Order: sequence, then structure tokens, then C-alpha cells
Amino acid sequence: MKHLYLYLLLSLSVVTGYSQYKDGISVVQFSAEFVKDREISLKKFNDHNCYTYYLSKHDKYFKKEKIVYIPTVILFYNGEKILKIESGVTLKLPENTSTKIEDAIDEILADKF
Amino acid sequence: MKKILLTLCLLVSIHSNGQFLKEVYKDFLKYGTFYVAGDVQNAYEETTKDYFVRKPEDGNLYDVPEVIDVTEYYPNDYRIGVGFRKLARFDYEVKAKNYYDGTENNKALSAPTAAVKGLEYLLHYEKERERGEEFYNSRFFIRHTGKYHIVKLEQREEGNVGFKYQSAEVRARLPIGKKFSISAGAIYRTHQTPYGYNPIEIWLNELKDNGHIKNPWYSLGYLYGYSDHYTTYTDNSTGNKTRDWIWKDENGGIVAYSDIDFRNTVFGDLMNKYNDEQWDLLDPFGEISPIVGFDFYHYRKNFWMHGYGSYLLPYHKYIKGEEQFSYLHRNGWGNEGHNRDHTVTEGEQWDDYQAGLILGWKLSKSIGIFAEGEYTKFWDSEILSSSVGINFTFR
Repeated sequence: MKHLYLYLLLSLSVVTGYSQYKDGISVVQFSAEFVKDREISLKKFNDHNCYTYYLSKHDKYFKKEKIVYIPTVILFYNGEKILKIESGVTLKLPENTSTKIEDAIDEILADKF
Repeated sequence: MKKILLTLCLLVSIHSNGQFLKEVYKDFLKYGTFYVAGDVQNAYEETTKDYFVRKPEDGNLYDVPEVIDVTEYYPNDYRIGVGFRKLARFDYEVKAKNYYDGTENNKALSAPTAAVKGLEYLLHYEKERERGEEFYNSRFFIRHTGKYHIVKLEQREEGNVGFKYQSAEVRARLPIGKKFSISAGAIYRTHQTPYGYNPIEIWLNELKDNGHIKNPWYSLGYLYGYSDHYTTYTDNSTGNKTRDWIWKDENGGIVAYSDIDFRNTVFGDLMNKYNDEQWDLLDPFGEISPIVGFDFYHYRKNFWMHGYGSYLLPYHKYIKGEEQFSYLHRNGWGNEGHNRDHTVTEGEQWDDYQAGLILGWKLSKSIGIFAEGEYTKFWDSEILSSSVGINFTFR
């Protein structure tokens, strides 16, 4: 019984130790208040996990993901980085950002069926 | 002007229809797979051969006999099916083949929630031959999972065992975080087997008002056209006489040389026959129950855990089938037949549940621990499947 408790505790610590924003299919937009108008809408990815983080509030995530440009959009799948799209020095995400994310999600989903 | 308006309307209609069709395609067909598949297997072979000896055509019982092979030989087993499926695999499930052939058994079919939100379905129909017997199997499964709801319809039929099952459930779902959710709703289920109702036991145990047995066991033989004949045997060497009942079938052929012989041979089949006949008189049962459940899913390459459970609360209500014979009144039978008091009461409720746990932990590049288990208790039926393993890979 002791071992079972130990195992469960260990499992829980492993589970809770992971960054939640990388679970399943997650679209994460790293941004800042002053470039809000440069963000893309994540509405069309509502079937999946969507997060928008601002430098002023979530700087630890920015450090963790080594964000250099804002906005940056990262697609995670079960903790793994699948796609990273950066705005670059122009502070503007490429026109086809949403399409690229959609295509990558499509590929993930197609593999699940 | 009229023409322009008409053209505009037509264009809008085509556009909206196009949009509609696009949505239909996205929701219903995208990622779906249509398949036609089959397989042929070696015929089943008996482990031992059976032989029979008979006297030669122009000889008698003590001439050299003919040895006849009476082993049953079967044609090849086969299965051919057609299906349409859109069922998402959980990340820990590996696609066994590069194609679907209808033999897959995804966790999506038993877990309350799905690996992806939206519509999932499995429509499968097949013809199978096993040991020379041909039958049909089918499975129809449709589920829609949303953030706050689960709707599921299922129908299964397995021809070789006469198993038929239908269910429909609606649940409200409450996600707690991204990995855990609880749900509550109602489920409708059918069962063909009248669990807890054993007609032959009731028939044999029935008593008359004076306390004597109403249906002696041997009267079952009479019901099926057998007759018993009191017979005296004489041992020619000692002159000892013994008496017993010889049993004959409808055509006068002897089937047993004593009561005990009849009980040990023919009687077992008669009991099964009687039960089958009585069960066939009953319509399938259908009942509604409240259901609650939970689902926890976490996946990373090196550690995954999927736990789920459903509990059907003991407030079952039969809406189809004769309630007197239902599982609700499984203990309502006594020596006087069905207990009337039991019929007028609400019967005895019971708990049904299903739970599953899948765990995988790759401790290092070389060592992995895996465990899987699922337990289902529905009515009198209990199904347990489990497996556990440790893998060590040399690198």
C-alpha cells in the first residue's frame, strides 16, 4: 500500500510538474500590450487550447520559450514544440501565420484518426 | 431588376450551400475512413479424430468392422466487412496497421470522453464464418463530445453468441482544468438476457399448496416427448434382479437405461432447451439510469495516464420488457413462483459501473513500465481485462 501511495504521489508530481500550456494541441501567442494590434486572432483554434501571454505578466514563459520577437506564435503538441512563427524586427507576423498553424494542426489530427 | 435580384439570390444560395457543404464535410467526413476489408483463416481442426465402427454391409456384428472417420471437418473461416469510421486514437494508442479492417478496438469506444472534440463514429457491418457457421456482426457508434456535453449512441450485435446491445446517453460535462472532467446525465441501455431469471430453477422448485413438489424433475422429460418404462434386469449368472426406469424418445428408441443415466445425459440439454424457450418468450429489456463519470487524461512521451470511470446510480427504471422478469426483480422468485409482494414493490436496485486505467512510464531510454486495465459490471455480467508489463531495451 505504501508503494502505491508513493507511486501515486510521484505520478501526480510528474503530471503537475508539466507546463499546462503545452498540453494536447495548444496555440500560444506571446505578445505585449503595445503590439496588441499586431496579434492574430486565435478564435478559429477554439477547438484546441489557446493562450495569449503578455510580457508584462508572464515573463517567465517568455524566458522559458526563449522568445526574442513579439508577437510570436508557438504550436505545441503534448509538450513538444511543433511550429514557431516569429514576427521578426518588423513586429508583424507573416500573413499566412494562421494558415500555417491550421496546416500543422491538420497534420496532427489526421495522424490521430 | 427582378432578374438581378434573382441572380443575386441564386449566388447567395450557391455560396451559402457551398459553405454549408464545407461545414458538413469538415464535421462529418474529414478524417473519416471508408473501408471494405476481409480475411480468410485456416479452417478449425479438431485436436483429436473421432472414429465409428460399423458392421460390413453383408456381414454381422462379429465380422471385421468398417472404421469410419466421423471427425467434423470445417471449411475455412472468413470475415468480410464494410465500414466507415472516424474515431480518434488517444496518444498512447498506436495504430496497429497501416489500414483499418474493422478489427480495431479503440479506447475511444469505452472511455466516456474522446481524444478530440467533435463528432466521432464507427459504422461497421460484417459477415463471418467460424467453424462452418455463418453469422452477421455489426457495431454502430456515434458520439459528439463538446466542452460541456457528451452525447453517445451505440448498437452492437454479435451473431455467433446472439448478443445484442443498444445504448444512448446524454451527459453534461464539466472540465476542471485541461486534463480532468466530471460528467453527469442519463443513459438508456437494453439487454436481451433476463439476468437473474432462471426459468428451469423456478419450474423445478415450484411447490403445490400442500408443500409437495409441483414439477418433479422427470416430468421435464415428458414435456419433450420422452417416456420412462419401469424395467427389471436379471443377471443371468447370479439370478439377481435390479429395477430401474428405461427412457425412450418419441420414436421408441432407448436413450437411457436408468434415471441416473437420463439425468446425466439427456436431461442437461432439456434444461437448456427449456430455458432458451422461456427466455425467447420475453421481449428485450430497456432501462434508463442516471449516470455520473470522470475522465483524466495526461500524455507526454515519457509518461501517460488515462483514468476514467462511470457509475450508474441505483435508480434504474425499466421502460421496455416485462418488469416482472427484469433484473429489478431478480430475487423475487420463490417456491411459489413469482413473489407477488415483490411485484408490487419497486424491486431491488443495484449498482453498475465501469472503470479503466492506462499507465505508461518510460523511466529511462531503456526501461518502461506499462499497465492497462478495465473493469465493467453491468447487471450480472462482469468483464475484466488487464495487462501489465516491464520493458527493458538494450541500447
